[in-house]
Amino acid sequence: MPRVKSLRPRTGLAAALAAACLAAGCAPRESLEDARARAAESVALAEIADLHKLITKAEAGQLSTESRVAIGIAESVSKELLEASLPQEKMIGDRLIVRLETAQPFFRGNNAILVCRASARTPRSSAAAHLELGGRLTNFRIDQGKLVSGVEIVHFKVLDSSLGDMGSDVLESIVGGNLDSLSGLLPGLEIPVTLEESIPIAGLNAGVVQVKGGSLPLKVSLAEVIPIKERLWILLDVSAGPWTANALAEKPE
Amino acid sequence: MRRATGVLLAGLLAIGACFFAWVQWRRAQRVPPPTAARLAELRTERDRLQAVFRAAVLARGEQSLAEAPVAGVMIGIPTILTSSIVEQVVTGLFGETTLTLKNLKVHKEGKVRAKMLIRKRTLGEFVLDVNIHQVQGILKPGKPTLVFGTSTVDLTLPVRLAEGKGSAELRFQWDSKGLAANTVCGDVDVTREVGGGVVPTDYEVSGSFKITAVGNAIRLEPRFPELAVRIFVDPSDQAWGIVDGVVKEQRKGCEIALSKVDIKEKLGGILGKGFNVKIPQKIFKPIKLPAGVKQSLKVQGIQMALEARPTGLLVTPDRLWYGADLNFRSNRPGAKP
Repeated sequence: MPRVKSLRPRTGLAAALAAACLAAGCAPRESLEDARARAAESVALAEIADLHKLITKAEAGQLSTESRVAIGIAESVSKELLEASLPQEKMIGDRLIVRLETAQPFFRGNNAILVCRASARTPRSSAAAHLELGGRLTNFRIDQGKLVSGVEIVHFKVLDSSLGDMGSDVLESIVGGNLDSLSGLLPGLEIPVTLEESIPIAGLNAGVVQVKGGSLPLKVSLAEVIPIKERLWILLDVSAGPWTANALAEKPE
Repeated sequence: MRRATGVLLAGLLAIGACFFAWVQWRRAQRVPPPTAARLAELRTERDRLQAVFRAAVLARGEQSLAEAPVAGVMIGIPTILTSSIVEQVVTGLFGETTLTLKNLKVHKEGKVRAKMLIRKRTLGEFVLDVNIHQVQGILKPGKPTLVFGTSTVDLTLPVRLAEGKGSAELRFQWDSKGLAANTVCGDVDVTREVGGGVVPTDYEVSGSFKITAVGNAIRLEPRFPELAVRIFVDPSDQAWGIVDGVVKEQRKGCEIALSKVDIKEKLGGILGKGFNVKIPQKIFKPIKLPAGVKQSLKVQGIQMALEARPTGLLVTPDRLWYGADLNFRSNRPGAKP
């Protein structure tokens, strides 16, 4: 929300702006239910299209699963995980304070979506709004042993605001055309799963019997992400080996 | 001045009117929102396609997915990966196992009797001491066989005591008895250093790993008995040569007397019994499989403790399934416990 430079009030100017605003605000703004229905339709159509692609891939044998480690996270766990860190406040461009209040992930139809509720206010005025933000979980990757995703904001809706309907419309139009400016606002998801990089095994120095310990390195890479039936499935390619021996333990056990 | 204000006002009104028109135009462009029936129809179609996809995945080999323990977090580790891990860990450990025996002492003594003219007489007494400084055997594992049960992985591993080496001090003492023997041979006390190897021997290790869900991951707990190995020392050709030399170094009459001792046969008899070594159970260690539930996590700068409550563990021919529900405990100030 940009900071407005204060102007010396002039009667004519104020009257003109008020007239324009009132005029624009006369027409009813689309109801929240209608907006949500529209978004729900859009999501469902995307899910159906993606499912068709996924089924084609599976039936053609191009979706290998059985040799891969499968990790499935329920929507409810992800929700609890995300909400455990809420509420969180973030400053957007030094002009707008956004407070994330709720987060609800949806893992359906090969689409991982995150819908958040937030409130926004400006630090220097009383203007405030309640917002709904929608993001698509993307760019799943293994980063320093963590399984994480990014989030791409695809939906922004002003639920209500002190700016009135027109102000909300204008805000939606401006922000809707520049969703990138909100990147970083929604939290990405970290899957609460450990991925070991190796399996260390201790040796044995029992006098007569001496065994060198070692470790079995593991190579882990992300193969597929399939959000379906309220669960996010992540398939990992994991290969083990070769065994690497350590030096023999010095002290006998 | 008034004229300028009037122009400005008119201009602003025009801009306002344009903006109003733009807002109205945008609203008019909107297609009507979908009805509840339309949304229900789309969701039904999505659910149908999800079921089709699941059937396709099951048909392509994911047989156990339908039986997997449903939980907040589900982890399915292919048995093929588990086998690879177990095989490499077990063969890795056994391939780096050495058995070292030190300061073993073996002793043999006896009398040598021979027919002298009309009756048998004691020619002398011998004492054979072998002090094995060190003998070392190295194990070589073969290819293990793994069989997955309902809660165990049975393992059979062929192991060969493949090679080894050692060194020993051989002391042979001969005490001639009687005038004739003492005249011909006298007493002998010879010490020699000899080397050797070990006789390759095959063994089989059999046991199992119990598959358990311990806290946040799947662990394979070893259940193996001690493995008894017997090391047979095999004196080298050079060692046998030294033993032969001990006899041949003596005078001819003495050589004949000592040849009746047959040191090589005695030595072979002593060493042929072998030395027992027990490989303890603890050579096998628990193996933690590579994916598990985290115990802590940082979300947006908030540290959280995660407690996994295992809900089930299922071993199937294609996967080991582990399910756990999570409890979160945020460490932020004022957070609910």
